[in-house]
Amino acid sequence: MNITLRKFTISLTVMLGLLLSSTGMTQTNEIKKLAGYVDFGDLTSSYGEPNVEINLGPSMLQFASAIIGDDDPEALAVMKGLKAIRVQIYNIDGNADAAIGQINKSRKQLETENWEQIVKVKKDGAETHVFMKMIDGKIEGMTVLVAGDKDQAVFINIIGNIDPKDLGKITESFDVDIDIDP
Amino acid sequence: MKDINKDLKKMNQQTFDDAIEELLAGDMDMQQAERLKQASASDQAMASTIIDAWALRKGLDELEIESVSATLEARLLAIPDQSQSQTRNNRFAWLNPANWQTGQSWAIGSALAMSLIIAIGINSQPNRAEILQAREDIRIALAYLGKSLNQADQLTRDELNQQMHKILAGQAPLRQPYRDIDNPVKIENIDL
Repeated sequence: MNITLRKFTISLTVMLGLLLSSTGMTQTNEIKKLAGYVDFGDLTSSYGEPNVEINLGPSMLQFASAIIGDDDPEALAVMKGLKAIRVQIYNIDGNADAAIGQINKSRKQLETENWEQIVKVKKDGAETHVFMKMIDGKIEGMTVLVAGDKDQAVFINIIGNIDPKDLGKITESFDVDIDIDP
Repeated sequence: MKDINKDLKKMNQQTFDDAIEELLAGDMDMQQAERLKQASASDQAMASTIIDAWALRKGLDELEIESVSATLEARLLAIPDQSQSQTRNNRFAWLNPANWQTGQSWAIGSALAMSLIIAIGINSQPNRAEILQAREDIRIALAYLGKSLNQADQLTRDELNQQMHKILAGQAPLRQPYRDIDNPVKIENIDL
């Protein structure tokens, strides 16, 4: 086989490898390596499967961002900074113990990883915690942990460069209704 | 093209197997490659099989050729020539390194594999329904996020208001010690 043909086949092999490796599993593992990733643990043994579970990686976020278009460059810029969105919502049916236990476990982990806690509210057995991961003055991730509110445990992890004050820019673009009552 | 479409309709498992064998043997011509490409356009499993066959063919080509030891050569030469070995040789002709120089068939096979790889790559992009679902997921995620932050913000404001009223009414000192976790509401810090 001549050299040109060999180079051609090697190039094809590389392309094949690249395509086969770009699976969802690979993407999930890549997300776990990001600084803004938070391990929520697994509460299925306590509450069953989450009634809301969202895992959006970078490629899906960019496809979904196409709705914004060029009309709102600020919102588009915010979306481009995002690498992943993860949400888990459990029905806790009045028993927040396991959820609060998981939140405490996550909090300890976040503290050892130098996350900054910007909100900590406890009232009537319900807890809300908001953490941010900053690296060199840049936000790399945000997580919101809520337990005991309306019989729900809420775990949210936004990975990427997201500033809470910029949230309004994208909530408007996606026509978000904050007053949801699932 | 009419012939190709006609062939396509006729393509059954046997003809598909034959085509794969030809691809492996490096005997594939342009028309056969086009037939396979057309047939696999609507069948991702078939496309994957073709790519696997092509990868196997490529892997075989990259096998190093080692010289046979003298003793093994002597033993091989001692094996009597059998009539059926000729048929088998034809069937496995592609195993013969001398036949691996069939550059044209290689190029055809590679081009076919390439077009299928690209097609599969394109198919792996999310469809419209998946994108709409992703948008809905983003809306739900942002709604929960906004709701959680708003609630925390409201609790904090309520607590600050209560404390301010108490201070103004003289019911609480201007300077208060840091409250511990036993209090109904504990605010350590907020920066929204």
